[in-house]
Amino acid sequence: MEGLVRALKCATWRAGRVIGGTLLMSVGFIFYFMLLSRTPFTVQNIVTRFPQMLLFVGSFMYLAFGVVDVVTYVQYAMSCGCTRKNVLLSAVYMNMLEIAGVELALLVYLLLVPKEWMLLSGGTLCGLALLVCLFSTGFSLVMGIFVKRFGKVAYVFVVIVCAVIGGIMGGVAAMNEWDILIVGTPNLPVVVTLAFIGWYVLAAAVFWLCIRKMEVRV
Amino acid sequence: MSELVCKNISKSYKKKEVLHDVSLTIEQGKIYGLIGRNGAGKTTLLSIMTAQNPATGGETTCDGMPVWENQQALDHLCFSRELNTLSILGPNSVKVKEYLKMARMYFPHWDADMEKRLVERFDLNVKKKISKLSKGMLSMVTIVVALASKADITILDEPVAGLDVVARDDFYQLLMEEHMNMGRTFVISTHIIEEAANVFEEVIFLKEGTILLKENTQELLERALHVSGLAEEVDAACAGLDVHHVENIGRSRGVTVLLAPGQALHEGHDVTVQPVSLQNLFVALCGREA
Repeated sequence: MEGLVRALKCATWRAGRVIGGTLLMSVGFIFYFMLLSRTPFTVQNIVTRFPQMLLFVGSFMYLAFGVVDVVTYVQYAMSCGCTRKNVLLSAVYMNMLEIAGVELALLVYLLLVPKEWMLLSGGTLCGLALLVCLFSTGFSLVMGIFVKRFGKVAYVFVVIVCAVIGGIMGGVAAMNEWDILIVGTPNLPVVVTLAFIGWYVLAAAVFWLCIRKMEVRV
Repeated sequence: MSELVCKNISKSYKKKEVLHDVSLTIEQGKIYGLIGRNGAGKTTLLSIMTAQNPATGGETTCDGMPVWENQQALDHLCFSRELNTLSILGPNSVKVKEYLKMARMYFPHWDADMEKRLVERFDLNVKKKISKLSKGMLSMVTIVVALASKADITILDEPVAGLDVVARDDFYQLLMEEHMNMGRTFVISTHIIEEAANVFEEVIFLKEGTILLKENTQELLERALHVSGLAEEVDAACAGLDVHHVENIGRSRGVTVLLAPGQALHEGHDVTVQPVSLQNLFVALCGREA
């Protein structure tokens, strides 16, 4: 149990850095896009853009840093005597913390910001964030293993995937066209959520199958 | 304190077997030198001993507990690996301080004061990325992790590679201090044999995936002799003995003899007998015959 506690402590530290970076980058990108589109810097304009930017940056950051985490820290944790089971549990825990980080930021946003400034309802926003984060974190586990196995070629593939996802999310964010992502699903049906949870579980299972006999090479 | 036991370890990569039925016991409170040529299987064996690499066959235990996926056993072990900056994968992209922070979090008996002392002693720039470190600095990082881990059984893979002679001397001094004060067990894989010979209480020669010998260093050197002289005289003096590394120069011959307990050279022959250094003994046993 002590080993798991140590692994979770380390995952908390890493998740904290990713969440912090995501929040900071989200704010940075808001200003960047506003400068780009010459939108006046009013409080309302800045605040209104926060949720979509958080989803855009979050999806990108969680995917990119998740891959780095698998190829860097997972190997290192094993070389420091962490069991593979604890590596899996800490990776899942880290992903859950990252999702909780985004959800918490959105909850604070929903509590502080007037409803008329919001483009989406609170439930839709939180549900959408859950789906985006589940997809990104799950994808990062699989891609991390892919990179670990195939090296530089896989890295190029991941960069392309990140760019495509980032592009789609960025485009949606920039256009404020969130309806594209939630067409016909104003309340994000349970089935869709379950499908994304299923995707994450599948990704975690693939991750486990690949690390359970993995050789450490640092 | 702990004892690490490998029983019938084998390891294959596809059809190539790199370790063949290796059995080895690492007893507590000793410093072991693991010596073998490149590709002999040293790193593979050390990785398997610390559950960083799954064995194809056999089992490793620490104090009777299987090491594989057993946190209780793993908490007694530290394998500080040689870092490879050429790989884009691994911890190369992180800074030294992050690398050490991770080690601090994972090793249960980590000595933060020692980490600080060693970082200062080696003048390590912790803000530098691992990938930007020189070969010597990389070795220093692995030494800091190994020593500060305070693990009962600490394994170092090529810890002195790239270190200058002063730093190497410093390392062996630190190692001896830890060994004397804490009674820790060390297993050190190295190619720089001669200067480490005095430090190793026992040596393990690994040749082509098998343990050639595991013996007390002093006792081993006492029964190893270099015999030279005229070929006929040397052959007569060494008849029936375990002879290695025969070198012929004209009518002269030089051989390395490994005496079994109770054995001696045959007397009455005009030969020169000299002690053999650990390095020369290794070359005699593991090198190509002349």
